[in-house]
Amino acid sequence: MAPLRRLGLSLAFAAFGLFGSLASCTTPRALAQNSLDANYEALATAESLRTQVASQIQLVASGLLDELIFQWSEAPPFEAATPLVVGGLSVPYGLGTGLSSLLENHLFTLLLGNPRAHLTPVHCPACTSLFVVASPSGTTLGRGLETPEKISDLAAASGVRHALFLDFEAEGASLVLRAKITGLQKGLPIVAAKTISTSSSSPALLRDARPLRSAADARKEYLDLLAGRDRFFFPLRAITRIYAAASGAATVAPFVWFEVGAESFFTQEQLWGGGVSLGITSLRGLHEGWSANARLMRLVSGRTRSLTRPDVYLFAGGGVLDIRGENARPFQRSPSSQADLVRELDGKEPRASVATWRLGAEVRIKNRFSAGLFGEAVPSAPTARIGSYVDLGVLSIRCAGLEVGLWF
Amino acid sequence: MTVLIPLLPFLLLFLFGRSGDPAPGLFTSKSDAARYECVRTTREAVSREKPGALKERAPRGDFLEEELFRCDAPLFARGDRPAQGDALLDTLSEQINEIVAGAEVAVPNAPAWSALAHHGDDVLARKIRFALEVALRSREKAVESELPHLSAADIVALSQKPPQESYPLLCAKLPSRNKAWLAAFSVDAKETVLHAGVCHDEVWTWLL
Repeated sequence: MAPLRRLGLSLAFAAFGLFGSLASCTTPRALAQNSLDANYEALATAESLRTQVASQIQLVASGLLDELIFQWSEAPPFEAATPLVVGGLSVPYGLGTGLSSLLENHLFTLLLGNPRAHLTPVHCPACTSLFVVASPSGTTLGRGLETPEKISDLAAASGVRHALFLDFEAEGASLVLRAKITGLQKGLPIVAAKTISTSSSSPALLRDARPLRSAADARKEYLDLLAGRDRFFFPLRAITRIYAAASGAATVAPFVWFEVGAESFFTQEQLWGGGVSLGITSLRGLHEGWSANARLMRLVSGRTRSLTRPDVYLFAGGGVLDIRGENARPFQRSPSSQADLVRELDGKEPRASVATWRLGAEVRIKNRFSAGLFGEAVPSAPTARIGSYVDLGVLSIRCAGLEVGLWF
Repeated sequence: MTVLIPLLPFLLLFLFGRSGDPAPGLFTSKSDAARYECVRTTREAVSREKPGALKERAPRGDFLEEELFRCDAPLFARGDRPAQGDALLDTLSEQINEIVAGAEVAVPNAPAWSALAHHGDDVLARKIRFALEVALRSREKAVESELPHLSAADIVALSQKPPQESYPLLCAKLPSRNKAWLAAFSVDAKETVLHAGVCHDEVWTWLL
């Protein structure tokens, strides 16, 4: 009876624990916590999306500001330099104040760098501060610029007679900039207004702000730069080759090579390119060698080189390695050739020449720095000392390589 | 495996030589393709906008038939912004231009103009009003940006009436003798188009 009682108690406790855990999942507190977590996650996702969109449109929005100030430089809204306060800059619906701050900074840079626009920015904190004005007709709460009772005071205090307001909005694939200059007097008359828009597929021209040039001139300069872009690059690479050890054989020592070469791209977008290089390796008492290599590469990280991100290239190539010294023995054919035997008898150091095929990927930063990985096939090297990492049937990857490059 | 080697260049060309066609297919999902809005365009238009983007065609012609599309992706993907605001802003310029054109016909000789906007979202309301003011000024109208002074009691009373009644009553409160007031507003939270009317000489005229 006692064992049965113990079994019954155990089952009872187990059932209690099971129902208790189920209950804890469905209590109102747990449900509320789950809902709160889901909300936080949704907010975090939304914030991440907003940041991405803001980054994407910042350049385009800056380009619209460039065009606005350029047009006002060509046809100024005032005959002489006129002080004005930037009354407000609103960003597309859904984005926050971070983007508006960046665009305001760019706007001030443009206004200061283009005096031909006859717009002199003035700092007026009171213009954008909130005021409460009580009068017999009622009580008004608003910013200084928008409160008729305060406008004349502000104008007298700061000497400012005009205010500039800007609004950016994303309308489908277009980013639209609307601008108005308002007189700080009764009625707030609008003295000038402009609307400029562009589409998401139009790249930002990235014009120099001091002074601005027309969009056509900026585009021509960009095309001239493309046409006259450096055609040849001269990389200097440090390569480490690590060979797979054959089963039962001693590990082959890694080889460190230094290569210098010349590369060129076949298209302006730098999608396809190729190059040749010569390399040397030396380790006192163990080996010396030289190599000649060629490679073909293709950009895979986009349809053109990126201005803001590293580029990833896949490459394929081949070459010849010529190695002398003790470390050349793993590469000598077995049984040794007659020439090899004669060299040994003459006391000369061992020598081997092998052909290689290489496949790899490298990350480049603005054709100044690169880092890459590759796998290399050495079909003519004997399998007694050098094994294989991956056997693809046709090619056997027997060497793994790391390379770091500097470009000139 | 040896048989596949001659096919390798074609595979590489297939993988890397595609033109970036946004149509749904092996590399583009339907949801990605649906983001794009494509319109047919001409070689001249593309050359104007993106010089050097297209390769010159052979002077004696070639055996290729060419179709050019300009595909743009919206700056905000669907769902990134509240749907009603997003849909309304997508066509904001067209709606504003239509409203202002109608107002010009309805009140051709107003000495001055002002704009009003109402929307459940204050941010959208400000943007709509801004767009109206800029559109009016761009048409060489004398535009004033000052808001009307209405008492709180009037605002409360007007807000409790349906728009068909409240805006004509509002018109009676506005100083509209020497000024035309152009109003655009959204009546329902599910609407993606704006209603509009103009108040001049205490007469309210519906535009949309």
